[in-house]
Amino acid sequence: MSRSDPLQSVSPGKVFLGVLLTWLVPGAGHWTLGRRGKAVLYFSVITFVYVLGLVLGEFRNVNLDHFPIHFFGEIFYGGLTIPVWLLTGGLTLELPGQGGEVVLGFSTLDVGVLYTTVAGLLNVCVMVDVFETAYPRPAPAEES
Amino acid sequence: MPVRWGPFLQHLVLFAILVTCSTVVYYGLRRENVKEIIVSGLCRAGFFVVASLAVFGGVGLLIAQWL
Repeated sequence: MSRSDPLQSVSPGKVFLGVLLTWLVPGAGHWTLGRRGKAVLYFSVITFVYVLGLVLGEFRNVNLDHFPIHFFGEIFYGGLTIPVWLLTGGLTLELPGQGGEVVLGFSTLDVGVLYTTVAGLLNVCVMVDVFETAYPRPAPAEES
Repeated sequence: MPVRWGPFLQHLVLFAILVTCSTVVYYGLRRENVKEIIVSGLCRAGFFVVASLAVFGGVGLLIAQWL
């Protein structure tokens, strides 16, 4: 298996650092392991999903008080969740409705929360993949 | 009750985007070839979007008519 050859001597500390960097920036761990293409791909896709979720939620969806369970998923993209939480945590969810009344939330808020949560959970998979890249098992097609 | 096509199409597109992105990332795990990840991931994502819309949309339509 050729992909494991250049990574035989990866130290556990470097793998741990890669996982930690991935928590901050998706793909950063793969970048440190020399997998630049996958790093760019993961960063692009996961950040796109997260930012699109923020836009859909009008930057009100990273909220520990209103969405504690979703926040647990979002926090796995720590590099964005922590700054966004600190910067937007004070924004209210009570917005003026069309008739002038105050409504809680808006139509795309749930979708935005879903997007940011899925982005965080996808980053968990990427963190595991950093470990798998450093200490590879046989690829799925080769297992059978 | 008439269908509100705007929000319906909006959620349809958002659903397709989320499924596509999730599938590409998940398909890339433990694989190395980026081009293969993107091409095969997009193909799988297209299948998942169509299949899930057929199942959930079709069953949802049946339930809505039944109710």
